[in-house]
Amino acid sequence: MTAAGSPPPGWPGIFRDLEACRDFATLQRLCRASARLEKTSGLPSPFVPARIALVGGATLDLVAGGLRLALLARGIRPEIHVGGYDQFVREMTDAQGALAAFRPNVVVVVNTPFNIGSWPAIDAPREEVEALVRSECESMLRPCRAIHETTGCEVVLNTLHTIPQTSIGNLGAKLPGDRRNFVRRLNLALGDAAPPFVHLNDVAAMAEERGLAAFFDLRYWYHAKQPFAFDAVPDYVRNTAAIAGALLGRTRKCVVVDLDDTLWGGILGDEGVAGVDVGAGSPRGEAFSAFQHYLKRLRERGILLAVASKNDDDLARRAFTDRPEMVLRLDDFVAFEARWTPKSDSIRAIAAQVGIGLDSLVFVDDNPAERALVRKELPEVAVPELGDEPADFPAILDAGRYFETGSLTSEDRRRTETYKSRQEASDARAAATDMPSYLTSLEMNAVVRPFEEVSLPRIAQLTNKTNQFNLTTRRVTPSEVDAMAKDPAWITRSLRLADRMGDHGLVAVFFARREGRALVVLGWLMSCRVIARGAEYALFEDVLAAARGMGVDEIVGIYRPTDRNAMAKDLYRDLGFTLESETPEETRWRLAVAGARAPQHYIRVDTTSRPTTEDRK
Amino acid sequence: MTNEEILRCITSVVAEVVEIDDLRLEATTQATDVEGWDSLAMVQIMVGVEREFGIRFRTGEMAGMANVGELVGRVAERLRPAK
Repeated sequence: MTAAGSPPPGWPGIFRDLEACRDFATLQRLCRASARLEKTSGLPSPFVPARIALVGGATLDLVAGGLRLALLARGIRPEIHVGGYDQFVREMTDAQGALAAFRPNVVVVVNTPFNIGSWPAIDAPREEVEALVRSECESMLRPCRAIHETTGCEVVLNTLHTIPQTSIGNLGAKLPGDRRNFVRRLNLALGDAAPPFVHLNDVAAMAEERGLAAFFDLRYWYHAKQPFAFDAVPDYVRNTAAIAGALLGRTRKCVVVDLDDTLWGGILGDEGVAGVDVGAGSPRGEAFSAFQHYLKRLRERGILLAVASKNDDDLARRAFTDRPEMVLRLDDFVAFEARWTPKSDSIRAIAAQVGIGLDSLVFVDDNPAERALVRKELPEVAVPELGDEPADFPAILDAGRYFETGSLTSEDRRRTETYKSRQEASDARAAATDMPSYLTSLEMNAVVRPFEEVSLPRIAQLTNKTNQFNLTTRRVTPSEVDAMAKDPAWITRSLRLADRMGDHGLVAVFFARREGRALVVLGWLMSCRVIARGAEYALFEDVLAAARGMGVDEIVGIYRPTDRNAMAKDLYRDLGFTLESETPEETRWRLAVAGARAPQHYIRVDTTSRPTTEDRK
Repeated sequence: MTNEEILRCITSVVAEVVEIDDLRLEATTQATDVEGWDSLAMVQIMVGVEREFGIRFRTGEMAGMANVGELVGRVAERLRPAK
């Protein structure tokens, strides 16, 4: 922990202070400190470059600086375009304007309740209010669709906080025409009507959490059209950066939890399995149970859970099997490291076992010394200031906005199971005597299809989350995926894989564009949970057939090295391509289509079946 | 708190907002004399001064002040114990 007031030690210190920042003056100090640091020692790395536009119905200048810093903290290097005061409708609908010319990846709209065009009369009948809700909702979504159609960008749009006044008192809760009642209805309608490329920035929820009086101050609105109270700006920029981060693939996947005084009260080694405090028997036990319920809900939406604890392994496992009050069970965890070595070692082991990067992890521990150690040894790991009040743990983890996502797919809900079956598969590999018999024993079935509508969210998600087996690390949005699917110059493929241990879902993505007589592979990636199964060969077999059908003479492959994707560097050599050029940025490979064959694989491939409807959910 | 102390405090608030380390304000200084003291800075200064002294201005009150001296006077007025 840094002592209050001491200068932050470089980027990690600035980012940690930003996470804790609750007031505007501190945010500004951090912005200045980061500007100085950027001048002297450059930007933190690694990062994803992105063009972010900030437009809206309020003054944006005081938000822009903080937003830039919050994006940097998410590993995004933004180029920021700031629109004019209350110009967003014009800017977003002008296909020839400066905003469209900026070609934003993400447009952040700071719309406020003052952008509501007409309010209902207090005694307006329900039907009239509902019609007004629809038209106000449409007038907020229309500019979003316009800029999306022009540039293919994703749009972040605010839900609206209420304005602190009512003319009719508590009766308003029953009157659809009451202004608070109307704003609530409008927010619900936005949630229902927002298309996939519009992501709601839940300002209404932020105002509720902080208290409306603290979140919004009419004086600042009258003075300078400030959309939020100054001290609420840090909340707003962190939340916005988390949403943009998820759209750009900067989100975390796994929570690593400590056990003693984190999942239950007391020290297991001292109190014994029967003695630790969890469950409805005590207030503290209830609070720990509630935290376990929260973690379980994270797991159910696709976040992986793992344990890093200083305990005897056998004893730690018995706490889960022998105490019925335990909400989490051993099979909720994808990795369980209970041992007496430094936690940084356990966390490294967990990342290796699960096959994800350290920057995908959040470490949750009540002990400040352990947190400090992990921050120092593994700066990529997010470490929230947990404190010592278990009732606050869910809110603290929530406030870090580590697990934002633009959509929820069926793969998310099955994630723990698929990681577990992968571990079983690696156990089976250890048992099998040779690779072909092992691969055959997996009884793998693949479905290879061009990009299809129902799979678009998952395809985009995979391009944004996959770092290791990713040839070009090109991130694409659902809209770009859709555009490729519809353009006959592209060959697109997705691959779903199932084996005797379970269904892995959609795990590989390929897209290539015809350029003259060649097919140029611009994106190829595979979830690391199916590495070394030969799925890339099965996919390539189908691509070769498609290339022949298209009538091209050769296929050009590109590999762009990053600090994460070394495992994919020899793919084209394995597929029989010849190295054509090599620079630090990329290697280029070429393969004549005539006579080319995909390497041997052991997967039964189906290229005709329809995808399951499950992806739609 | 003397007016001089109030002025020192206000100076440090303004200096932070307009980002001039060696800023010097006097009673006769006007917003237009200070580079960067625009309407946006005005709101930030208002927030800073309110926080620093634990007071609250009325809407439009600060924008209507002629110079720093008047601001110091208003702050002193608010800080004086009631009655």
